[in-house]
Amino acid sequence: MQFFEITLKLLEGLKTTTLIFVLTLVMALPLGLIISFGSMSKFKPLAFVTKVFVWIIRGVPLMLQIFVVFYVPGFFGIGSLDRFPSVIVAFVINYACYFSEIYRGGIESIPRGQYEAGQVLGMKKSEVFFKVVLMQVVKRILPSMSNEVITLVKDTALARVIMVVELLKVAENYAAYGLIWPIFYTAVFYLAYVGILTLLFGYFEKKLSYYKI
Amino acid sequence: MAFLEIKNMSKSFGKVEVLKGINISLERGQVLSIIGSSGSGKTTLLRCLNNLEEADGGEVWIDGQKRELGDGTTFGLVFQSFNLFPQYTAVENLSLAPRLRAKEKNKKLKLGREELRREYAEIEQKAEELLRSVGLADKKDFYPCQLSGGQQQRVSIARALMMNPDILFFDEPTSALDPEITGEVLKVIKGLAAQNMTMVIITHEMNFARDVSDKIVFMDKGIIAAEGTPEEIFTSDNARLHEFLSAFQLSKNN
Repeated sequence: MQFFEITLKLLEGLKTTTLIFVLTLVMALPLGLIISFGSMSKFKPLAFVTKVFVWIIRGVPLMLQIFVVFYVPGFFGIGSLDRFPSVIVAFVINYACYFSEIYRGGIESIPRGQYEAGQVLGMKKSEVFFKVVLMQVVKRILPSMSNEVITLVKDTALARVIMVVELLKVAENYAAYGLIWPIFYTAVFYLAYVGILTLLFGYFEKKLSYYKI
Repeated sequence: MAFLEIKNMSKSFGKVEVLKGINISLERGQVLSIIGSSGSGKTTLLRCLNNLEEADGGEVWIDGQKRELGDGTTFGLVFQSFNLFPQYTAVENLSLAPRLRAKEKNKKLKLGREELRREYAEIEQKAEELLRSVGLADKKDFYPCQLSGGQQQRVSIARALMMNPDILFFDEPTSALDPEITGEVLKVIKGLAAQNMTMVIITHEMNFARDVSDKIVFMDKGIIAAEGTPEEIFTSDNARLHEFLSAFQLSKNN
């Protein structure tokens, strides 16, 4: 009975975990593309500023970034975000920066001949990017993206540092009552989560295997 | 005035002068081959003509009209490395760009969906005809990775022809192919020459150049060192040209 009850509670925590996961992906995936354009910009100052920004975000622990987003605006009296939105903001910025570097690597790995072929066929730059290059980039970056996305699942556990009650925090709360096993039990949830994602990415990779770059 | 006139074209990369005032003229329906060793500026010339590089100086006239930079639609270019779009089938490679243009036109003139579908069908039909003309009718739904190098290059020739180019350019079309399959590509190019397609071909296939060309230009260190009919070129007593051609003869015999 207790096992059933605790499972239900953990599932509730999993809901928060999933919310962090989905919201982060939905916003960080496009934002990352914009950041990658910034760091590849021919306008040098923009490329420089973007690269410094990416360096800072990738160079500082995500946990610290969550603290910064949650506490620092308050210090300057510019209002503050609630706990959950703070987590989302920190996660989105952090993951967008990582994604941007994956995008950049993918975009730069596409041979120049693909752009040139599009150009001599009278296609516009944006057409070449969206109709020709992007699909090849997606195929190329899929393995690295699957890595990042799997990491994100487990990073959601960091939300508990500002008392956002996600899966691991729910389990941890039982420890106060002398129940340790729920903490270990969470591994089952994470493993199932990542397992599904692994299958999903495998499916996508297979779907894109009809052509070679 | 000839159909294609290149006047005094020059191009430098930094301090390196790659093209030092190139003048070429070509009549409609003629085939010009450009030969010369690596680094002589052949490819740069072709890239400048196709707006892939910006020439520093010079003019290009087509049919009595000065060509402005950026109107890159009337030329076709076939690349050494094919540059087919790997995620599209052969026929999609041909139809992609024309479909985009048709869609754009349709939107602009508000012609409606029915008209667009009709135009797509026309494009599709033309693409299939061109694939048939290069001997690949049965490969139309194959992806580039399922085709041999020679087949890929033939698709890319058909793709360039989709644009109805006034002039078709080739940048070493057979250099990336093994000797056994260069023949099938050269045959397609010869077929185009027989149909009076105006072509400019960079090639290292001397016998092919001799057979197919109306005119051959020998480039050396950014200038045209010799030019003339195949006859004149292959019997020329120009020392540098002689050296270049005998090097080819030598490598053939080995």
